Amino acid sequence: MSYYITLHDVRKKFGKIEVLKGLSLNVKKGEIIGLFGPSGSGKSTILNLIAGLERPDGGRITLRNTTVASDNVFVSPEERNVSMVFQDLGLWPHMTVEEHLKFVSDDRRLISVVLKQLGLEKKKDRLPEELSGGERQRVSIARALTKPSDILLLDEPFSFLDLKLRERVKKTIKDYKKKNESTVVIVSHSVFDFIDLCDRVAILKDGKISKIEKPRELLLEFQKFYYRKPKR
Amino acid sequence: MESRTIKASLIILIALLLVLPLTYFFLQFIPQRIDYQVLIFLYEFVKFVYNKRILKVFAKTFFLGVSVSLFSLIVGFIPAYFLEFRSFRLKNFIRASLFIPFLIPPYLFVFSWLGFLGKRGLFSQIHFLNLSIDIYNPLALIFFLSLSFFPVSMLFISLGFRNITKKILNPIKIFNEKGFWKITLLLLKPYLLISFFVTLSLFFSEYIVPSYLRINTYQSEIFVQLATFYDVRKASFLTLPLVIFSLIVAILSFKVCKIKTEIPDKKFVPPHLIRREKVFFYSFTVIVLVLSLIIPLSVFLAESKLDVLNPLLETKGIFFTSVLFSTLISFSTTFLSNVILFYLRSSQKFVNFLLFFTLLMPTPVLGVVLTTFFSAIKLNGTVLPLIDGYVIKFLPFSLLFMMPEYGKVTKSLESSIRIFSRGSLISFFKIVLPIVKEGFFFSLITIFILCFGEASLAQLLLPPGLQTISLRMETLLHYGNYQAVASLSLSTVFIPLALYSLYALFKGVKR
Ligand SMILES: Nc1ncnc2c1ncn2[C@@H]1O[C@H](COP(=O)(O)OP(=O)(O)OP(=O)(O)O)[C@@H](O)[C@H]1O
Ligand SMILES: [Mg+2]
Repeated sequence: MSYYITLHDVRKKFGKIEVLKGLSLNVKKGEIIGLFGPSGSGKSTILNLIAGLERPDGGRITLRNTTVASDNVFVSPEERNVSMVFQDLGLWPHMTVEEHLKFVSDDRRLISVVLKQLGLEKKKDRLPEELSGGERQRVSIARALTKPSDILLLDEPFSFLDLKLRERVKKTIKDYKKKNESTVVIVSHSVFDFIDLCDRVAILKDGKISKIEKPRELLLEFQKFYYRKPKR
Repeated sequence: MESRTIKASLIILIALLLVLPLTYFFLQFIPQRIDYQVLIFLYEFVKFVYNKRILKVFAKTFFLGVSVSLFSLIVGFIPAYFLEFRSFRLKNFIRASLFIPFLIPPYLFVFSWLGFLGKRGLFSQIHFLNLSIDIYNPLALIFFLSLSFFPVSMLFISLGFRNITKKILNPIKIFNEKGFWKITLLLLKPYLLISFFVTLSLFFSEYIVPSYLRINTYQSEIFVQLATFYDVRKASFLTLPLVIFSLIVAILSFKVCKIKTEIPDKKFVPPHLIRREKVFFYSFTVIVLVLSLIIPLSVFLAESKLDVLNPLLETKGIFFTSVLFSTLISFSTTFLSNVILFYLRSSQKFVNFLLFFTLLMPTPVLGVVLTTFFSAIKLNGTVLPLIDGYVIKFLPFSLLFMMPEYGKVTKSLESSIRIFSRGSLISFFKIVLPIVKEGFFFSLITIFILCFGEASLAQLLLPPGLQTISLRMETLLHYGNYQAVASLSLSTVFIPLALYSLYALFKGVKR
């Protein structure tokens, strides 16, 4: 069985702090995998490593069965052809919503479809600073969905959205995945986001993947945790 | 891969422009063979160079420089405080106007004041008592140069004040209202120090003005050795202390001070001036502008007898050379600083050191170092040393203007460029440049004006046969052709500056 995204024994340090301590993760083609873990555990770092925005200090990363990062190989993000939603959005302050999408693609039809799907048609001429937090997040998602790619990385894409919008965005992501046959890695703090989106969830602990579960199992564990009686 | 190639070429370019000449400069002090006789000779030579007279001149110069720096620090502090912590109308316009004195070449500035107060002066004519004031003294030098340098202090202190954001101010308000100055001064200290040393280095760059005022300074000693006696060796020895000085201060500055490149807090609207502050700040601004702009302008207008065109037409060729040359310099310097800030941003420390080191290198040092180096590779007499000199001289200013702009190019913004980019050049022109464009134009204009009026370095490095308008004015001054100088100053310095302040005014209105 060949995997589409693999991290093998990956290490990453920032200064003296070792964030990833020999982490391994395999993602199958067409799979949607969730990343779950406490704040500061290194979830964003993993996405950045897959995208090529950070270099690992050790180990190997392969995409589409080619090594993109190891001791003596490093493929730049420009050449990895992945699409991504950033946790801090990374919008361009001088560009309107529509210009963001036009920068990524020349396909006008696709642009108008994505704008519509995410409910941004009326806001398409606004600058990021003229948008609300949730609208900005949708721009960031729209930009990612305008770039066709078989690897999609989502870093907390729902954090500013209400429940209704979440459903809508999830559907749009599923459509994108189907169309581009994409493999998706998604980071979230909410177990419920994983339930109807992910095939598997990887749980991060102490710089490694501590276990991989089905989203339902994770939910059950959570319920146990929250509904157990407080000890006195 | 592509960006790595650019990085490598950039490092090589900086090495060629700056590091190599400096290394060569230092190497020449190491005798080729070390034996008894050579050492004796060296000892005698050093004793001959650093004699009692020179040491005295050095002490005097140093004292003058310290005074100039202190005064410009004080004069620069006041507007910086109000510009950063108070709201008032026409802020951009006032900010730009207060920067203009730095853009007027100091020798023209002093020339105009000589025309105002001196023997040929308007002042002595207005007062029937023949009240010409003797300004050939150190006090006048301190006065003129402080007025000319204070905008630089203002710039640095402003940068320092920008570190004191709402995040710092709000807790002060809640916990200790009186703690404001204590915390502010603490945070500001490194910037005050740097501002002090930068103006000191600007002072050491200036030898034309002291010589007008008939004051002998250390830098004129170097100039005389190099340009009059062609004694490069002696000039080198005289320059050595200055090089070492700028290196040490650069290392110190680099250690204590980080130029913050964070985005200024747009939502932070400082309080309006209260009445007392209004009176103080506006009178301060008016006085400074009268002293540093209105008086020179009126003197130029009067002395030119309003004949602006003829002297310009007479020097048409030189004028165009100057325009071309300054355009070349301002573009290449601004371009270089942008490339440095974009491609070497991961090596923030290196960029900071480069900034401080070039900023603190006085002009005579540049002149001597580049003369020795380019003579050694047989390229003296070409325009290359001058281009190199100007790029090094103006690079730090361009870096200073651009750095806050590159603060807007945040890490996440940059990551998104890389993920969604369609080629590095497209990204640069479509995303980075539009974001930094204000600083880019400011840098272009400012360096053009600075280069256009620069005469000190030009005098040291200009190849024979080439003339610039600034040197031309210098020569005319020597021959006492005041009318021509005045009208040339009007057409070449004041008209661009007027356009510049109009631009600032327009921008101020738009906001
Ligand atoms: N560029 C950086 N420099 C220094 N430390 C960093 C850098 N990026 C991340 N870190 C550190 O690495 C650790 C992991 O960061 P990361 O952003 O991957 O966490 P995360 O799991 O995404 O957290 P969150 O859920 O809060 O987004 C943190 O302790 C963070 O402080
Ligand atoms: Mg994160």
